[in-house]
Amino acid sequence: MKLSAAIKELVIYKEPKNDEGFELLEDEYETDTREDQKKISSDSDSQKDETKVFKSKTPLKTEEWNKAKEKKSQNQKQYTGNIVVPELKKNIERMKMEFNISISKDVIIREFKVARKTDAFILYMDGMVDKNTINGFILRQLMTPEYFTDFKEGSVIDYILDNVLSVNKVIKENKYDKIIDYVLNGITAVFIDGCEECMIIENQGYEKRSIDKPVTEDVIRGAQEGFTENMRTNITLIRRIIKNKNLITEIMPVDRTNKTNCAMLYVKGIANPAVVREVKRRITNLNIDFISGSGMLEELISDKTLMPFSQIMTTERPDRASSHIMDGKVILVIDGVPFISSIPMSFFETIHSPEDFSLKWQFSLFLRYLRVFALFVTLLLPGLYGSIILFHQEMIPTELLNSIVKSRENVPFPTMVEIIFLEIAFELIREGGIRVPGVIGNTLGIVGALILGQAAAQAQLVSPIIIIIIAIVGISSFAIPSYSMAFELRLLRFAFIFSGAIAGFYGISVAFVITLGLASSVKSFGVPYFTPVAPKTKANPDVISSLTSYKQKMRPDFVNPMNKYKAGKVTEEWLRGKDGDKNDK
Amino acid sequence: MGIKMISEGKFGPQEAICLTTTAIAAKVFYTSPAILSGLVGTAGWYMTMISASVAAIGFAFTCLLLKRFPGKGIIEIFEITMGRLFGFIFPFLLAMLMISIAAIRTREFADVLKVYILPFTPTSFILILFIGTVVILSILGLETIARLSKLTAYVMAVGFFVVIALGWQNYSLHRLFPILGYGIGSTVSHGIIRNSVYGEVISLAIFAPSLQGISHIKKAGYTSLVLSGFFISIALLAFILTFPYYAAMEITSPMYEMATLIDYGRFLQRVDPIFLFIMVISSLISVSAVFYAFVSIYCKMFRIQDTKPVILAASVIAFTLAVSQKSISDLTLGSVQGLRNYGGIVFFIPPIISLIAAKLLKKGETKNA
Amino acid sequence: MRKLSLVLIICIIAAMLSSCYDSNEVDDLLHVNIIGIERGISDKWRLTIKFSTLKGNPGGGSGSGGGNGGESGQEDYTSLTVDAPSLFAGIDMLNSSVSRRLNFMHTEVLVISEDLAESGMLGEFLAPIIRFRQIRRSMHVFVINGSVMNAINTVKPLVGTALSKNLQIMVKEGKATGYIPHSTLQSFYDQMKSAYRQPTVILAALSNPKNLKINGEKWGNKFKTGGEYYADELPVSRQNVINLFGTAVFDGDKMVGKLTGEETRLMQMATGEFRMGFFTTQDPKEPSLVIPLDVRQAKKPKIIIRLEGDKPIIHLKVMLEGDILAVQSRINYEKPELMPVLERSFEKQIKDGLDKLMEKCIGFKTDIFGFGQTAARQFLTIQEWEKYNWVKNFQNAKITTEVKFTIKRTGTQLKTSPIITTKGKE
Repeated sequence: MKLSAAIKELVIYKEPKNDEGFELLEDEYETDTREDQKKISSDSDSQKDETKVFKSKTPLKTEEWNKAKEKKSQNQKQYTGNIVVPELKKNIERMKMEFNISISKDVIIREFKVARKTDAFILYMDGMVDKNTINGFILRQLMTPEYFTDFKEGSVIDYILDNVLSVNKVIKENKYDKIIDYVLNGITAVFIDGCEECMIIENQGYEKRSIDKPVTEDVIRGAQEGFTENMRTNITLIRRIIKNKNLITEIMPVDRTNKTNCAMLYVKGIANPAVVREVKRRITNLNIDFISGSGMLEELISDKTLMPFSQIMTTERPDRASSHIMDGKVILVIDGVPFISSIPMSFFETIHSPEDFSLKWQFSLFLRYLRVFALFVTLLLPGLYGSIILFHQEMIPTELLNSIVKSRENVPFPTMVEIIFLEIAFELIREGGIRVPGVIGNTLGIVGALILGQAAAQAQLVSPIIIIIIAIVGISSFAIPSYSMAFELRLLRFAFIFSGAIAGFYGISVAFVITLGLASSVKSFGVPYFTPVAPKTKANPDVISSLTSYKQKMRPDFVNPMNKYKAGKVTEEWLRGKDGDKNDK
Repeated sequence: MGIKMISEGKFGPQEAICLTTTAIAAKVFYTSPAILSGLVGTAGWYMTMISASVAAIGFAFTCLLLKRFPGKGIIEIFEITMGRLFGFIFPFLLAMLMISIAAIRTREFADVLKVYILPFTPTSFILILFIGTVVILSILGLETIARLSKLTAYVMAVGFFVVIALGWQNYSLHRLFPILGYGIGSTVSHGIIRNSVYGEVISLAIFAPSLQGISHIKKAGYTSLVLSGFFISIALLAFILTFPYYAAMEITSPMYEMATLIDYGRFLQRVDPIFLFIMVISSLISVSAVFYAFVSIYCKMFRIQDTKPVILAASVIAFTLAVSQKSISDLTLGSVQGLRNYGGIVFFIPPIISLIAAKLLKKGETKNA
Repeated sequence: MRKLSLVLIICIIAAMLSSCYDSNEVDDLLHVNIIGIERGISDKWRLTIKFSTLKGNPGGGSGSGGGNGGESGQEDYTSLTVDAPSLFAGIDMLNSSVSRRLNFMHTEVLVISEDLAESGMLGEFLAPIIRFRQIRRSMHVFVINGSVMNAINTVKPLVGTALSKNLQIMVKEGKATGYIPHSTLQSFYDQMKSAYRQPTVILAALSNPKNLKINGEKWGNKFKTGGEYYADELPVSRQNVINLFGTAVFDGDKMVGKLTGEETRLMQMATGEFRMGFFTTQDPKEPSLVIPLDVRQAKKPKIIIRLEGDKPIIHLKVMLEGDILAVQSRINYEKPELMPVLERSFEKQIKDGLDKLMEKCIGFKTDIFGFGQTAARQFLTIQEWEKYNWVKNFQNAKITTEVKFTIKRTGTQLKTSPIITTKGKE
């Protein structure tokens, strides 16, 4: 626009636009009860839901009351029972109402005629089904009258199931709520006029991530497959490893509105039935709307304790999950998160890595001890450093002490402030490094830490020794195989720093005893946390040292498995010359 | 006759052994070895074995008593065999003994800490931290204390032996001689009187319902007596090898002083604060065990179900008792000696009386029933 | 959740209120390296301390050039002296003149002056030192002649920059030669109170370069073993270096005599603490020349004691072994026939030395060899042992010695060939 016009516009007063924006007020849409959900999930055949409660905060005015009554009578015209009725029209209307098809365009209803005679429709969720099955198998086969030449009388559905549909998994269903659940899971429902049941054809075909390397648990010499977000794929991965006919998969929904699927896997005959029962009891008695993944589920079914120690083992690797199953534990696979939980758990499993049995036992023994050392380092080292510097300077060699004093000559901060400052800086780098985009992410970690530390030391903000300590602590926290355990230790580290600052080694010992005491009182589904050391149970020599595979004969005792031995008396029967050609010792 | 018990959980014999051994052996870190060498000179290390054997005899009687009443702890047995009055007095005495042991030991620990490590910190601060931890552990329950002791016992034993082995360069065999100390008579008499050093083995009898079966109790009791006797004896032996008897009775905490003398070259010297971990952790577990024994006796005496209020109140009592000692001399020469000399009576005599009463009144099961 | 945060807040507030009494930042404290005590003039005690002034670069710390520490230069050490009525009064007085609080946890050495030692007042001077928690019993003790203040003031690290390292290595390497005894505060105090033996302390002196005569006639062929000096007599050239050589002998807390370096070695042979050292012995066939030997203790000495009333009869057998380091006369002592000659001559030398030493010590009336330790085995109870009073009865003792010496190796040469000059083979 012209310059003069622009200046005019800039200078002259204009009335503000009347734009209030969007305000979310507390109004009559909020309901306290969940009775709507309760009604739908109830299994009643009768039509007893006329009394639809309409709760509001202010007493109703007459018009509104009339409107409510009208709505009620309108609803009564619709069929509100739970069983499928033979009249197709009623089914269509019911489904349209249930899925809010007037507003939501996700659910597709395709009406067609079966064998050019009978009306039918299919109901599916767009994007979640495999369209090839619908096109090639359902629609084509049902629309072709040649398949129905033999049909004389009787149930259409049964005839179709037996003779027409060449689909691998078809079941009959007559309850609306179950049908709705199926459709929501990406399964097609076929309604035929005159039948009191509908066919449920399983043809899920939604997009999902392909099997990829596990993100958190990388190993060098081990399988490189990790779980994905889809429950069926995960179960398949486990089944590829455990080909046992007694591997039971129980699938149950965990939450109320969402009906997220959760599968519980165990081997009948090895897992203890009491544990299975308890897990099932806890899962089915949850009153919550939405569970986003295994993390939430774990929190909800664990015993509540003060300690930040988790009582359920999480893993992302199928080989680890399978070894847990074969040990007699119960596995929970849930839709949505590529982690599965295994129950019950003991503390010493957090230092077991899946690689331990792929290497020779001497190497894995060394690695195990290294991890235990890393555990102590990451927990105690900053606290120990702080308390030595502040309280026990006699432990430091004299030359080092003089050097420390000289390097701290111009540093303004006391030791504690230094330590906390650097700890927080390191945590920030870590947390930020997760979200930094790709290329910068890797460099930020190393470069950021080192250069920032170096610069801070040179600016005499911190002393160089503390930088080394924080770096060692950070690295050793990555050496612990279990991701959640590393987190717990990071939190506890602050408690130790704090107690070391108060009372030196005495404070650290006190904090250590309290932590250990609180951890010993944690029970994971009835199993004390520090089994098999305390209490002592007959165990594999697999607590910390992992000895050779042929010594691992027993299942861990704390799961009280029904079948204690997982290897015969002599694992390596080939040493005895069994079935050998020549040797006969 | 069921007295409703506070639920104490169950633990096995290994944990019982670790718990009792730690409870008994923690004494060796304080001032008593110095007093001991003032009393018996160079004979301390085998005098303590005499004490252990006397305690074992006392424990044997207690086991006999427990065998007659399977599944019951000693407090209930007192009540059953001796009626309400004595069944009240004896546990009361035992409870008083336990709480004084807990308080005195706390104070001993705090004093040693103040002398060597934290000289300017006020005693009440150390005591509050200590008793606070004991309270937390007691609230968590007996099982937790037992498991904790099992977890830390091996590491502490290894550390203990490392410290003793590292002090090897200061050992000199000649300090053991003259070998009989101040005479056999004095050695044996002191040995018999001071058997309360091993008196905490009675706590196994107090916690008897949590241990499964009399054979476990027996095994745990005797093993822990042997083990703790071994530990204390080795410590006293190392101690007398390092300091001759005339210098030994002067030192405030001989074990700590021994650790101070470790000097292997320019790096491995002045490492005594590492020793502090062993001392603090074993003291904490030891006092927790004794303190919980007091709470347990108290609750059983008065049929209280919930231990939490009793724990909190008892902690205040213990703190007051600990703080009220006037000075370290009062503590070591007065209270500790009193406990040592007379504690044995309260530990071991009541079970013997109770056993006699049970036999006379024909209560409880016998083997031939 | 609220309960938890309440508990946490209470903990944090409580901890802050208590204000961490014992926590000292590293720069709050000043670590003393050497303590010296002697009799003062303005007051009873004269207390001297030496510490680092902490100037100068930290070792390679913030160097922009990386490895090269640049001119990190000499670390500066200074000393302070104060006259005070007691140790702790002195510490407080010094605290008022130094900007940081004194701390004795890293003190390496305690230096005592000779006249304080001879006055017999050492017991009262040592009492506060032993009880003080900051002072560790593994500290080394020297007795130095002359003024302690002067000595501590002038001592500097000769090699390297760290005085503490210098002191530690000096004492430890001294054990390799055997010229100084093993003496820490713990051993000194222990032996002071001991009924088994008497204390020995390292004898030290500030080096006096005048001992190294610059002008004068050259030495001829007179035999000297090289150890027959007291610490202040060592002919070493450098000034302001502390020489550790010899032993100071105490009776209880009073110094009664000195031993030369050579006598210290013999004493250590008798106690079994001798490790190794170079000895010089006269060549038996050519008395004007010497044969140096590298001698070690083969086994601990055997001591047999018989008590006849108040008179102990002691027999000491010392077992040594060694290597030939040089044969100046080029006589083939490596031959199996001649080796025993050498061995016997050395044994005689040692035995003579031991006998003289024993006489000297009986003259001092002190048992510094620890014979009492072996004698104690013959008593059953402490009361009898203390009644016998070994320390007093030692002066009546009759001591016989026996030395056994074997040559094991001869160095890198099996024999020495003669030197050929115009005069023929020599």
